[in-house]
Amino acid sequence: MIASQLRSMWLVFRHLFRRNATVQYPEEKPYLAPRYRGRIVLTRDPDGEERCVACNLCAAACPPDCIALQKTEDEDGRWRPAWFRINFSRCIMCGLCEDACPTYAIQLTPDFEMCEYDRQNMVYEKEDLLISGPGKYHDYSFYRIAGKAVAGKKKGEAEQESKPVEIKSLNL
Amino acid sequence: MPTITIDGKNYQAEEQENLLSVCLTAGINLPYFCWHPAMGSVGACRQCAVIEYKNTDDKHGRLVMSCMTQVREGGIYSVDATRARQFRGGIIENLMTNHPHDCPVCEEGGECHLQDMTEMSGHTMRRFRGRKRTHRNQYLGPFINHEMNRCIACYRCTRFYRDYAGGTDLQPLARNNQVYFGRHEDGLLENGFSGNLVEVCPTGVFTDKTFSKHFVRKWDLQSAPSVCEHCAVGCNTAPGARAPGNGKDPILRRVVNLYNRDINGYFLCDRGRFGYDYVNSEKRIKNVLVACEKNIISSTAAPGERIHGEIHPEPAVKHLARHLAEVQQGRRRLIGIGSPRSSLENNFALRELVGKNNFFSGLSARDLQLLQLVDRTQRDARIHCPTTPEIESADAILILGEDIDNTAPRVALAVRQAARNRQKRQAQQLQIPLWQDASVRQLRVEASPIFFIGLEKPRLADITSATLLGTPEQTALFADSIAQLILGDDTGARKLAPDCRAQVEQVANTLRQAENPLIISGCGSRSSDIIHCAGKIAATLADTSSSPCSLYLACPEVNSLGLTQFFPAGEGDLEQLAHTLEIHSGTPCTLIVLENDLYRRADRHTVERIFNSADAVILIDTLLNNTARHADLIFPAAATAESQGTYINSQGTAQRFYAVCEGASYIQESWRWLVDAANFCKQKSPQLATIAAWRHSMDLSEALAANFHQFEVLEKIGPDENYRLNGLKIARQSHRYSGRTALGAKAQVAELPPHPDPDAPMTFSMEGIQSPAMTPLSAHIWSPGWNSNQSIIKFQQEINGHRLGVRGSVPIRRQPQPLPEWQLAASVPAKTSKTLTAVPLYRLFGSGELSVGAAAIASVTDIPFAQISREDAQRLDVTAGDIGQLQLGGESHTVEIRISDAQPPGTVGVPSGLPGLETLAALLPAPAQLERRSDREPGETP
Amino acid sequence: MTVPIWITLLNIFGILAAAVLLAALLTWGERRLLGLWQDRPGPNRVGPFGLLQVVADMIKLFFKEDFVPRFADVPVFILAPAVVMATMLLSFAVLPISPTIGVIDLNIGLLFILAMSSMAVYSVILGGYASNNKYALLGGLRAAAQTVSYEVFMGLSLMGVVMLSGSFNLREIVSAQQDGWYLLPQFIGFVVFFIAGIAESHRLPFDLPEAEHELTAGFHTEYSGMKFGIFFVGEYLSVILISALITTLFLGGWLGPWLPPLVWFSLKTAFLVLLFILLRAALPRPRYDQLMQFGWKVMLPLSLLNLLVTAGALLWIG
Repeated sequence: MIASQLRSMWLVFRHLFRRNATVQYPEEKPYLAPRYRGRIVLTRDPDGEERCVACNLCAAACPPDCIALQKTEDEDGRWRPAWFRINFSRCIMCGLCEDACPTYAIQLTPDFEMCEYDRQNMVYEKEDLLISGPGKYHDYSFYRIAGKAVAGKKKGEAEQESKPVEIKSLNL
Repeated sequence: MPTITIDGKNYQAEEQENLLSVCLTAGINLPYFCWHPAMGSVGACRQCAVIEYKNTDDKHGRLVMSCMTQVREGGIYSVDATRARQFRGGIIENLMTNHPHDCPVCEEGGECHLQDMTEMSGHTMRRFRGRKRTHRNQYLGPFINHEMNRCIACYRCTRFYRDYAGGTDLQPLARNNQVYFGRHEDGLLENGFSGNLVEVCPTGVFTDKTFSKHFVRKWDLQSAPSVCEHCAVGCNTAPGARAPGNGKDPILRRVVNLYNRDINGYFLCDRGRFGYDYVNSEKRIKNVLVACEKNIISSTAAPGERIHGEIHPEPAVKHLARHLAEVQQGRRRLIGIGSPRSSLENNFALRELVGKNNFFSGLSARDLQLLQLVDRTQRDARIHCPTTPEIESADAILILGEDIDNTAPRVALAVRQAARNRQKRQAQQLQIPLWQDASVRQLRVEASPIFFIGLEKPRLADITSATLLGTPEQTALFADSIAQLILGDDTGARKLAPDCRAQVEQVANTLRQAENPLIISGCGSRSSDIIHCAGKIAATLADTSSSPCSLYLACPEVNSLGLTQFFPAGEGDLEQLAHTLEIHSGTPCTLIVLENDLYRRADRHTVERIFNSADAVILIDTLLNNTARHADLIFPAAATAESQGTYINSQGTAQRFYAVCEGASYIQESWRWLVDAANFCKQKSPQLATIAAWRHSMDLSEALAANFHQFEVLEKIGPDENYRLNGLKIARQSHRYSGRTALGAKAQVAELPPHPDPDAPMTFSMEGIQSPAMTPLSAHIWSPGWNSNQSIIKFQQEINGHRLGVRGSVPIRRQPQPLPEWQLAASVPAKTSKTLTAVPLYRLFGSGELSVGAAAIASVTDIPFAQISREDAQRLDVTAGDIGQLQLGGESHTVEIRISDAQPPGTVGVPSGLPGLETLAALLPAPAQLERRSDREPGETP
Repeated sequence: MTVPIWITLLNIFGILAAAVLLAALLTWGERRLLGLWQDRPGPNRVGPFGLLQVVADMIKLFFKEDFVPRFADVPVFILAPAVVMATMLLSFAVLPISPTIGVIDLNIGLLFILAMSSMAVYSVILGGYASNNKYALLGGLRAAAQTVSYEVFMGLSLMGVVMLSGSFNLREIVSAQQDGWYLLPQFIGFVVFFIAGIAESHRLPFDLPEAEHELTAGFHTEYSGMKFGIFFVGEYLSVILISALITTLFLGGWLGPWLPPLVWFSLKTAFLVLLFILLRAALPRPRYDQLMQFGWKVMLPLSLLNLLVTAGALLWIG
């Protein structure tokens, strides 16, 4: 028993001569992987349209319930969030919203430096969240695949779709 | 009861039941699509396949469709067998080959039976590499959205729409893989039950368009058991609400059916389903309004009408309190006008505040008498008020002068089912179980006898054996002769025209022979004779068969029958009020109008007499209306979905509804305004002190129970606010409710505790009991793996049985009284060349006072019209589509003239309560004049 | 021999200042060392090497609200931290730091220190009691029981040294080690005293009176601001005191070749302080019953045995 205590003391003592595991933030910045789970953004599809279709799955997946949004349907037939809010003062950066998102709209970025003196400023609205690029997924566009007709893509024009059935013809 | 074995476990099954129902009742998760508890099986989707074994030695078994398999004694089945699972997986994979990959933008997502069943069958990856079949969508009106690509061709929509609800304009088109469910062309679905397609469709082909306008997922809606306020049937609903995140979105988002075996079962009418939106209407009163004295440049207000501005509630309540104080000092009179569309509790609170002699019904003498007659008739021991399942099982039905399609639509749907009773009996004789829907429907049997005698050709006409159209007077005459014929006296019948006489005799014979006859009538015709006759027929039938006869008397509004209980015969009508006010014109008088638009209740003259004799008019209401124009002070009242209370439906059933959400701004229950005012009074009489002490809605219910023996049941129809289940309240929000910490974060990042509910043992949060299995107070119908409303089967005592924890409906306890003595007075209405008799017509969309406030319903509401017979049209020299001027009760209205062959000559059908003609509602039937407007300008519409 | 008054005063205030300053500095030193042992730099932001961290902490503690809970026993609550500071500083009076440095040369120096360290436990008990908080009270109770138990063989373990040197005077004990440190003949005594010393100063692994994971912060749960700071400094004072005492009793005090006595004393003390900190970094805290069992069933017999053997050996040698 005594030997083990002495050994652990020796082991700890040897750490005096090890390199530090930490870096001197903020002078030195650590490397953050592109898939680091930091500040959340809303991305756009390759055509520059909002990717978010306001399906509410991120909000449902969110453990601290810090995402809320309201669906609206625009003239072009696309679903969009009328407003989209993340309360970052509650967010735990778990990334479940990103996992839940069926359209790659919501993505986490390697940015964690978002301190504020006023908690109210941690509430991000859609204007604060929406970026102009596609984020980590460059080619995906939900409406090219989904069967819902939107402006510029009629029924039967999505991927893997055949022309709409003419129900009044014999369709032989 | 056969004992069967499923996967090695023994179950008791109902005789003749199908295996799918047995499995579901036993709690076994077995996927299905085409089966529906109310519509039986057709075996179309092949999704519920199980293995059936011949005997214990049979190890291989054979695949059967459980919905088409009748359980047999000692039957051995397997749901879990690999072969059955693989088969079901294959079926779902096939169904999904054309599915459009659009769940995120589908309103059904999250409560989709297809999602649930796909998950249950274990199909997760699309392996099919071919192309998807696609369809173009149709415009189906402002209620229903159509997205055909999502269809899995289960045929439930057309089975409901055509077979169950009697619609004709939705049909399966094209063939095999290309089958299309739609109309022959774009347009509004005509049937008044089209909204049920939203719930019947297992996927997102038919979705609620009004809900989509302010869409949130099912799990984000908070809900509580409520009662539909748009007619007197009293269907149970589960309105869904969610707080706005930006201060602008509406609060109440949708209404779905809440299963109640005795009233609405699985279906609601479209007025009930889509009428909720009045709560979010622009006309909604959200703040306290006070009449302004300010001079403004111009306004649309007519002389005598007031212009209102918002005011903080405190001075307004204090103002009312000052009036109360003056009343106590004897310097002021206080008059209260109740409402048939407000809860018992609200009416009672006003009655207690003003005193019973100063409380008036807010109905015209005629309407109140009609209701009192309904009440009196229902008190007869020989009369039985049937539940919906009882209506559905009636073997002969006589509808007397009530347009139930439009005044009690859910009852009409039940009547439609009753038409199949002969067919069902035949099936039973042929040993075909009733759930074999297609087989039963194929039986060529005469429809069950359903007779309609009334004014307008009903939508039910396609199933009625005979339809006799006539004025209310004629209807009463027919009915009276039927009653006589049942007794064997044909003096009345002999006076009728020969063809009518034959029909009347047929009706009388059929009713006399029926085992389970049902008479349906109501206040719709505004004729006490018809109600008397209906009562007489029912009583006579009961006398001959020596068991009570079913009689359904439809009341006009959700709490009509409840309001009636406050007034002894001959008291409490508006004419009487006008009279008393003029007698006591010396003392100043404050008039409190509770959720009532008097202009819809009585003629303009009477209403103006009342308003002129009162020096202060205080209105508590939900929507701005004509009465609001004359009010000095307007308090915002909570709508049904925002409040708790009790309604008495046409059957005399007391039903409590619970607040689903809290009203916006300063909205609160009407009785709370009165209690607030009582609290501001410094000196309180004992009566006022009692009122001031009310804190919970249940305090009023208990006081009602103590004061009225009819309402003793109010203490029993639901627990009070102190009720706890395992020490917990019942949660209004689901366990998946999202955005809790973000929804209100824009306004304030600090999270405030949820508001407490003083009235119900429920929380406005996720905390508490969330399982509908534990209490019927939970309206969030959800079970693990069953996200759609199909999960209701998990919370029934048996398939199509009562909900768990529900014993049955609770009628109010009325003193039995025999029917009054009555003889039909023979009277022939005097006819002049230009005078017609205006009779009320009812419209599903338009006649409801509140539902027309819903934007979608308003968009399909008819323009003001008047309907006359072809004969009268020729005489008046008008053609259909002409713009006419309708003179009625001193008022003149511009209407479109319509011509109908069914309209009895000498009458003009005027839509009751239709926007634009609201003020005529109270006057019908009455003499009227119609003439073509000569100064019609091209393109002008009324 | 009389010394000028100014030298006495210099001794008094020099030792006082050095003790307090060193204790304060130790708060930085310990964190820095712990940091290094945990592969991180530790406090290094304020001043060179983070040395001014102490100042920053002090400023912080001074400007914090001097909060006294309304349910506390106020006079006792305020008195408690003062007691620990006073007793610890008084103990330094009898420590001989070098032949010329030292405040007072008491005949019963060793007994005085033992008495003072026993007094120190009052501060913990009183602090725990006056806080009127269940965690604090439990911490106080533990401190009482722990101190009472470990005090017994703490004293006994020193009796060997006293026997060998034949004196309670610390200077004489140091002088008696001219021929060899007592570390070797009194190795058991050294070990026992070292362990008892840890327990006396409530240092890890024997910091059960303030065990964070079970008692929040133990006896000083309710303390904040400078009152907490005094408890904190008191603890480091006692670390220095025990180290200095071990140096004096077992490691030959200021004795040593080549270097001046003060340096030797400081080096030895510093080494022991380092050992204290290393113990904290490396060893987990025992359960309370284990602590008591260890004290009564291992340490007490061991120190008695040590006493017996020492006495026997002395008798043998004559």
